[in-house]
Amino acid sequence: MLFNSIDFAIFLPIIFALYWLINARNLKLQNVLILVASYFFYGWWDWKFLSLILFSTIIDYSIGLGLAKEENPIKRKVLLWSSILVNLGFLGFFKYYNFFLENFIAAFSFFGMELSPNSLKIILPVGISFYTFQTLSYSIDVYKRRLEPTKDFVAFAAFVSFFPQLVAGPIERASNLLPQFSKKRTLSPLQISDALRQILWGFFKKIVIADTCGIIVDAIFLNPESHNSSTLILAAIFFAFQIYGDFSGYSDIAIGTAKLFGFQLMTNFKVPYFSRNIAEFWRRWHISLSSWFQDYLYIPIGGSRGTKAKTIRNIFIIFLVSGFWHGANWTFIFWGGINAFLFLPILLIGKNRKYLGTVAEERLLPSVREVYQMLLTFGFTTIAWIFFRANSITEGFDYINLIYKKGFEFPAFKGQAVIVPLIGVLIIIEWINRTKSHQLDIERFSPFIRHSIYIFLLGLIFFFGQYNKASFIYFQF
Amino acid sequence: MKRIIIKFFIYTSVLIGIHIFAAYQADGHFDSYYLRFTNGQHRSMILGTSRAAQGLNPAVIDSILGNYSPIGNFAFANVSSPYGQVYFEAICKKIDTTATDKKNIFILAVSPWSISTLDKSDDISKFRERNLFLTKIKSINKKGKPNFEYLMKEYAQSWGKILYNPVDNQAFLHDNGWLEISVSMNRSEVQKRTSEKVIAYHTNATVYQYSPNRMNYLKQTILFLKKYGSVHLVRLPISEPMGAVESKYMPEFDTKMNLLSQEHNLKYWSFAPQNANYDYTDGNHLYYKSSLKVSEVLAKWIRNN
Repeated sequence: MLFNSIDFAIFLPIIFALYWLINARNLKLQNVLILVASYFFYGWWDWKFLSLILFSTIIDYSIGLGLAKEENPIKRKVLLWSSILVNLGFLGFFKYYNFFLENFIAAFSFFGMELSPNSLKIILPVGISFYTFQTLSYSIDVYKRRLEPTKDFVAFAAFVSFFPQLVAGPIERASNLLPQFSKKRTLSPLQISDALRQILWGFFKKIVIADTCGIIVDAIFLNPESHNSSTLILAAIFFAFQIYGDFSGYSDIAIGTAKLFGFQLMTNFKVPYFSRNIAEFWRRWHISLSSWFQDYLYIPIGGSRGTKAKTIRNIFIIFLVSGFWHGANWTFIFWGGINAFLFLPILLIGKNRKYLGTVAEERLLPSVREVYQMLLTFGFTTIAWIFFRANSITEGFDYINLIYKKGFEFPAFKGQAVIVPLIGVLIIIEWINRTKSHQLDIERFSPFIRHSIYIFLLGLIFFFGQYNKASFIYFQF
Repeated sequence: MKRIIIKFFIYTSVLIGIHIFAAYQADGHFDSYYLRFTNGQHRSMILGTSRAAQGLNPAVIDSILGNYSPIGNFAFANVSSPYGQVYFEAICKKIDTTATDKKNIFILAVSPWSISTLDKSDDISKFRERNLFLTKIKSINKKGKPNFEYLMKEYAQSWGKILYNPVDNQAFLHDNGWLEISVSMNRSEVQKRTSEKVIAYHTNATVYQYSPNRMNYLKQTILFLKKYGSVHLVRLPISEPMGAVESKYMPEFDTKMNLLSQEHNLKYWSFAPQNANYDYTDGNHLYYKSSLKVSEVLAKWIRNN
């Protein structure tokens, strides 16, 4: 079920009403309802893949209990690796099987050996990369005794399949989300309005910004040869906004929806395009994944401790794996590599933790230097996004080559120029609320201003949104 | 809590209200197919692809064939309405079989592409129209605006655009289903559009192939419609370069249609010899002034035969 569908518009109020009206006093029943609703939500896409989630849930629940009882270090390690192998095994099979197969064939053929094994028509289960990482974090945390395993199967199953963030995150840590299933949830008018504001902002970013940019970007990336340089550059910039609007929009809707049920999910985006260098960008972009890799991969392999060479190796590992997580294509790995190259100099000169706060924190406007830094960072990320969007690395280079080769004429978007002021609205609102937990946190303003903003945004959705029920980009990951 | 629920209810009601208002404003300007899903059932019909959608005007035909029941244009596009199971089932829903006071007529526009497939196995489950709107929309025979099912499932733009910005000002869909296209007929622009279209169909010719299954569905459609009125097959005119592509792709097309018409005792009219007599917007579709002429010629031919 897509957030931007009529199905969800019907589903959500029904579940919300049942949850608070019928089950307000019964935590267990609330959890059962969430579980059933989550399975229904996922099964709406394809019920057959529910068995994967259920299997993963049973395995990790049992392993968690096993780890709690087991004191023998070797047996504990066996249990942990069982969880890792099962989860990554599913992920590897469904997401990467054909990729590895094709590359093995290519590698053998390079050495003159022709192989002809059959590739499989594998459907990638929506959200598998997200819930796999979520359950893995549980097993690892229990193994490391950072978390007490739960005995409540329903609560655990609801944690794994929690519908607001099941298919595209935020990738929640068990230590944050799981305990919330054992606590009484409350709902206040302030909480509802805050949640609805965040959902509205998410829809604006998705339906107005991302999907409108998507129309332009798709047309231009499909046939870049027939466009001039300025159009190609703008299309790359629009893709940067498309992917931001799409993914952060999804995260906002997910977090807002979770709030309606009394849950606090982690922040996934903190105005990343206002970053002053790549290190800051990566603290603000897809935070739940970056911090997951930091905690469960980067630090265990040594992080920035040890020699410079090891640190460089670790940086490359984390960025390349992070790229590969996005999809079974060399373009994602290459995109990860570019980011590693951009990140490395900052790390090596020790400025990776220079910008921990928000830009122009106590000021209305940024300094000229800050504007320059933000534009430069945005420019670098946009170049990297070209490879993320391209179908192959060669196609990405061809695109950049065309930017150099073609002439700089006035860009043409056939009736979609309205996206420019719409992006302007996005930037202004995000700038005003850049330090807030989400960018439509406008409780501090008077009711008149608040309602004017709601009407303005709803008007923009009504007049300029795309009602094409376009799927979210991150569903494919 | 009560206040926020009331506020939410007000916002939701207003939002739903303006969407309903917008839906009622949807007319022939905003979508090339919509009104064919709001004009109820037809007793007489024009069927085929976009050539027929743009090329055959029901009003002209009605004015000449006064003793027949009014005809509706239920033709769509090469991608969505070639002859096959999907189109056949849509026709079955669209046809009004209740009244018998007047004679009914069915004009089936045929072309090599409408009996061809992209799938080499000729598997009907893989036909190109399979996942398009004629499969998805259940309310094909709805009479009256708005058709919410169509708008919700098929209209990809914001509903606010219905109020201020027609998707394509050059296209206007009439209530009777005729799609009027008013593009610039400047010689160089027509040439450019024609050469693009010819290139596209050259490519089509390399990937399409004759489909016995589509032919069977065309026969099935004919047999079904013959129960309710007279059926006529027509090959609409196209530009010379497009005609050359078609002749090369399926040189035996006219023979196939002649055999089909003999087999089912129908009339087949091919405009191919008169291709040069008409104007085209892109080589593939008749300019609206020519479509009026073609409709007139065809209606007179039907009346006299």
